[in-house]
Amino acid sequence: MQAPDPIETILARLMPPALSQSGQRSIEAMLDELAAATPRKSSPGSLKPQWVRRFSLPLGIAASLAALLALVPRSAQVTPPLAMHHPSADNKGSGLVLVSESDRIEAMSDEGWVADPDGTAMQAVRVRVVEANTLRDEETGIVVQVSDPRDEMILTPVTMF
Amino acid sequence: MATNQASTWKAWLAENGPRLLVFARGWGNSQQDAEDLLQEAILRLWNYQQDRGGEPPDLPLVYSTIRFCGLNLHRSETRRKKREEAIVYLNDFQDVWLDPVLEDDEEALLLRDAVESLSPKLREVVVVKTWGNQTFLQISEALAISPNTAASRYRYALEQLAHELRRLKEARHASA
Repeated sequence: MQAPDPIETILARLMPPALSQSGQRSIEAMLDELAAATPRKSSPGSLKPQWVRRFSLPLGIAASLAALLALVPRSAQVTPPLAMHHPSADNKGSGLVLVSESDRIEAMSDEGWVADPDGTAMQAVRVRVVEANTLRDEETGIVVQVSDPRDEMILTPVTMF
Repeated sequence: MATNQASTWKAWLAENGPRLLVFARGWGNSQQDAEDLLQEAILRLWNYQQDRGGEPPDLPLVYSTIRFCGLNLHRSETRRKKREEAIVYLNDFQDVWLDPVLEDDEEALLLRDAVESLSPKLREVVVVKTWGNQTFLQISEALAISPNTAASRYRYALEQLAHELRRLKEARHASA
């Protein structure tokens, strides 16, 4: 067996100091809070396999998008990339009829990780949504489309990194 | 169950806290900074481990998480330092990375200074190997380097420490 280096022998005469009392207390208090906030699992056997957990989120998103696309009326003159169609409502008081109402996602971009005020890592996705309302004037028959673009930031807690 | 989990993690912290703290010192200016860094890493690891049974993680993962948190801290610290360059801090306490097992161990005290002055790349290998009791394979996982690189950095660090120790001893004897 190889003899230890003389420097290693001296290094062994040094030891790391313990955490300060305040530091130890702070971490232990955090662990208590985390444990209290952790939802109780039914049994270890109910844990899903790794691949199910990995693919469940993308599959869920894909299913949601498919469902939303199915809601878009096929007769619409302009087919948006993604739209949420709401039932139309009449606005007879003003002489305008709401023909259709939709929220269309025009663009999505990954903004990477950001930290929320608690220091939790969050995955940020910027979404550009266009709300489009189509109105018809009952007297003149003119159809007007009102578009209202807005930016939204979707934050999802990061649990795997 | 939640109480048991907290108790398990506290016991794990009591066993490994000092060796993780000395590694975190490489990224913080003071013990306080290092403890904050360690706490942040534990918070991230707690959330990460919940999908894996909730047990405390293996040390290579902890070292790499501390390193990740340290890199983030370093980025914000660099910006903060620029703002606070004019402020002078006076410390009336001894804030050291390592303590000698025996008091008045002059050689160990000199080597402690030498360890602190190593370059970060060499120092982190020495810290994880010596006080983390990790193999070169585990070090390679923690620091994202090859095992050969970890071993060569360790050997090079020992050579530098031996050289620095000789220099410090000579300087001390010359001034005595």
